[in-house]
Parts: sequence; structure tokens; C-alpha cells
Amino acid sequence: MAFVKVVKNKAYFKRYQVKSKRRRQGKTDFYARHALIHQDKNKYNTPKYRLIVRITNKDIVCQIAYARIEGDYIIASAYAHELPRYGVKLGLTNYAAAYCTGLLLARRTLQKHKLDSIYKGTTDVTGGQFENEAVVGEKRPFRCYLDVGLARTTTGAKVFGALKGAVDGGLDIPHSTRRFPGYSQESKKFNADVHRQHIFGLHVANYMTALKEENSDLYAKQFSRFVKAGIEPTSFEALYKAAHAAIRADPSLSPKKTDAPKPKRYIIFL
Amino acid sequence: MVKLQRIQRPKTQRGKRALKEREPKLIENARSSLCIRGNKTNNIMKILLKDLHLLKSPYSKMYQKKNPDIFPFENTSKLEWYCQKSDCSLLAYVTHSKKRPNNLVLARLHNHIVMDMFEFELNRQTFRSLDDFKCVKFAPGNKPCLIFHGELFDSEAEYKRLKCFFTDFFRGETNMKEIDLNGLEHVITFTLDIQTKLLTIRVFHIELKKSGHRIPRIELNEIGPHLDLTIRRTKLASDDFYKKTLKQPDAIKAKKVKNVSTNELGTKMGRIHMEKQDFNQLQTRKMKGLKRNLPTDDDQTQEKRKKIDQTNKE
Repeated sequence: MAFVKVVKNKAYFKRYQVKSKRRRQGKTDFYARHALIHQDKNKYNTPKYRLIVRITNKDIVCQIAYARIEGDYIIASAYAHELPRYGVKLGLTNYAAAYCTGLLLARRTLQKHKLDSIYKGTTDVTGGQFENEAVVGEKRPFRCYLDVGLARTTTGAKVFGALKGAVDGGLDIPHSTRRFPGYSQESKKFNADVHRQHIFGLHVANYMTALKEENSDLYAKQFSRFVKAGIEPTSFEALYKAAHAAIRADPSLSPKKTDAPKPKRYIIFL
Repeated sequence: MVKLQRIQRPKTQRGKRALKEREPKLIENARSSLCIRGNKTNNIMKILLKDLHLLKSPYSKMYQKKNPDIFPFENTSKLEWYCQKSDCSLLAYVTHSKKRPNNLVLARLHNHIVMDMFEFELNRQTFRSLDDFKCVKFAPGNKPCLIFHGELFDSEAEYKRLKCFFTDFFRGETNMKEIDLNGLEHVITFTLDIQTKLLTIRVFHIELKKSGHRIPRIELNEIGPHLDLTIRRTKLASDDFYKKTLKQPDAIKAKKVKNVSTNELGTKMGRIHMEKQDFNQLQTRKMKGLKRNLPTDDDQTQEKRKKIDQTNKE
């Protein structure tokens, strides 16, 4: 029997250098992070802001952050679980909710930086290409870059819904229509109307009506909460339009409810 | 026994790019520092090492484990090997022992050979780390402004080299032509007291406030590690080695273009030096009328002239 050298011996483990914590957890892609954070040294004045969009199973997180050596600082954040305040009670992780969250974050940030009256974005949602151009004589628009994290950037992904919401809200984010729903890879053409349907949740509404006719049991099971809340597929567009208007009217954070602190009881064992 | 080191040939494109990054280049990358612990360190020195690592943020690598059998002033081969492995050309090595408490060794390497090495003792009482200053610091990768106070930095040879060393250590990226003033976010000051030979390092954040006119009013807030160092031992590179490190390849040197100058108005003027010309043999535009042997008026042309005169009269 040949003698094989044990590679993972005691010396190996003694000297093994683990990767950084976030890499071990598989949560940060440092190659992408480096590109998002580090400025070209001959044009570094404004901090590089990034629009962080993370979609979990039940929530959508949108934040705007900038990096410092001691850690990242968050300027503003918006969550999909805040949307019930604006009238969107169900479907909090769909494309329409992502759009609303992005819009909410944009209005909140601009309000914070006192740019909200100058850069209004667009209230007429067509789903087409829209860019916030600098208003002459005023401050420049708030520029940030999309950070998708480890999400797969396929055409029609929800992260781009949040991006579109933020852009329509007034932020300056470089992007193209290539990854919005409605872009066809074969004909290389972008159909803005399809994107508009996704923004108002009409793709879900169409499925609801189709499923209702086809198989009412399955419909009752899949959309049970919608049935319970009494939300009809025809009301989607009006619902989201009202939500957009409500978000623009008051994007500020609702104050946290702080209950009266319960008096602490110390149990001392003698 | 001689260790055989196989030449590694990259198997993937990514590996190939990584190796290319480490190759010597005409314009080198920013100097990376390797932050490494010795066999025995105390908590203060670990915090100091972490602070030095953060100050140089993306251009710094930190080794987590302790490394025995490293005596920098006797044998630098192990340190040089670690620097070669992680492609670093600066070194921060930290130990604590009874003989040399709170010891910090800073070194720089040229071609993975130790050039200058300075050993400091940190004053434990006056040390304050980055965490002790609760304020916003600077963006990672920013270049600092370096200020050296003290006449010793200009007069004595050892301290001149120390100044050069610190500039090299904290400089960051060098491959750029201009810097945006707004982007200079922090200042590192080095003060060397003549009597006590105490080196104090402070890091400040620059704040530009409104003043009446175009030039903003500057305020400094202390942010970073607050260090008081005493120099223990030094090992400077020999003059020959130092001269070798200053050599620059010919390709970098700015090429002088002869006979081209720009005057005050911005016009580019050139000089042409002509060789001797024989004016009889010059090549010029050929005009028929100036030909030496002109054809005289013969019958054909006279008739042509008559015809032309007739048509003109009509």
C-alpha cells in the first residue's frame, strides 16, 4: 500500500485562514461589492450610494446605503410590510409590490434630502424608459446604483420592479429596459405595455380570472386571502394607482409604537 | 534540503488573470499591506493591528492566526514568503513580550525582499482605537493627506527615511493625474518631538464648512487611531539596494520631443532644419507660359486667333 500524505493534517488546520464572515455565510458577493463601492481615485467626491434590493419569501427590502471603513450607513429604507399603510394589503412580494416599495424609498430619500419638490419622477406610469434629468439651476438628482446582491438578473425579475419604482419616484439610477418584463430576447424589442401590466399586478389579475373560470377549488385555495379580503381581480389597477398616489402624498416613516416599558421584576435567589 | 518549487501554470482564465495581476508592471498597483500577528500578542496590539488594516482598507490583508518563529530583525525569510504569497509589499507585525512590550514592526519590501524595517513601542496608556471615536470616518480606499511635523524629518537621515516610509505606507493608489479636493476626506499627521523622539500619529477627518468666500473653512475632527510611538530598532536598506529600488524602466521616462515648442498663446510651433538645396534643380509647379522654349506663333494659332476675334465682335 502506497503511503499517502494527509493534506488536512494538524498543521493545515492550524494555519487555515477562513474567508470573511459574510462570504462564509454566502450573503455577500465581494467582487460585485468592490465594483459598487470603490470610486475611481481621480473623481471621488460624492459618496457612492447604492440601492440595495433584497427579496425574501415574505418581504421586500429596499435600502440606500453608502460605505465607510467602519461599516455601511443606511440613509433610508423601505419595506414591503409598510405597504398595508398605503392600501396594498396582500401580495406583498409580487412585482407590483416591488414597484411600490421602490417608489416609497425614492420619495422618502428625496424628502430627506429636500429634493422631493424638484424631482418628482413620473406619475404617468407607462412602463417605458424614463430617466430623471437634472433640472437646470437646481441641485442635481440623487444618483445611486442598483445592488441586487446574489439575485439572478433574469428578464422580468422583481428586483428590476423595485428599480423601476425608484426611478419613477425621482432617483437617478443608470439602467436599460433590457431586463424589464416585456423585453423580448428574440426580437430585441421592449413592449412597454407588458411592463405596465406587471407594474399594476394585472399579470396576477389575469391569472386569477383564468383560474376562477377553470378550477374554482384551486382558485379558492390559491387566492384564499384575496377572497377573504374581498379583492377582485378587476380592482387591481385602481388599488395600485391609489397606493402610488398615497405614497407620493406621505412617504415619511410612521413613528414607531413604543409601549410603556414594563417594570422589570428581579427575582433574587438568596 | 532544497525545496523544489514547481512553476505554477494557470489552468483557468481566472487564475491567469490573478497571476497577471501579480506580475511586475510599468505602473505598479497600489502597495498592499500584510497585517500579521506574532506568537504572543495582547489585546491592545490586536486592536491596533485591526485599525491599521482598516486604515488601508482595500489595500490590506489580515492574517487571522498567530505565527510562531518569526524574528524580524534576525531572519526575514518567513515574512517575505507570506508577503509573496499574498502579494503584499508592506508589512505590519505585532507582538508583545516581557522584553519588548507592545511591539509594532512596520516594514516595506522591494521585490519581496525586506527593504526598511522600523520597530516601535506603542504607549498603552494613550492609545485610542478607531472604535473609541464615535463618528463617521472616511470611505474605504480614499487617499489621505499626510502631514509631517518636526525638523528631524528633514535633517537626520534615519528620520528622512522614516518620512519616506510612512508616505509609502499610507499613500494608497498612485496611478492618477488629478485628485478632487472634495474627496480628500482624511489627514494623517506625524509629529516627531526633538527632545523625547516620540512619534505621535493622529488621524483627522476634514470638514469643509461655508466661509464668506470661495475657499471653504476647514475643520478637523479626530477620527482614527490615536498613537504614541517610541522608535526601538531600525533596519534601513543599504545605499546600493536603495538606489536599485529607485531605478525606473526606460519605457516610463517621458520622451522628449525635439524641435516642438508651444508659445504663450498656446500655438504649437515646430522647427524644420533644411538640408542644402540647389535652386536650379528645384521642383515647382509647371506653368506653360514660363517655359524656356515657348512655341512661336505659327499659322495654326494665327487662324485660331482670327476666329476668336470674329466671335467676340459678334
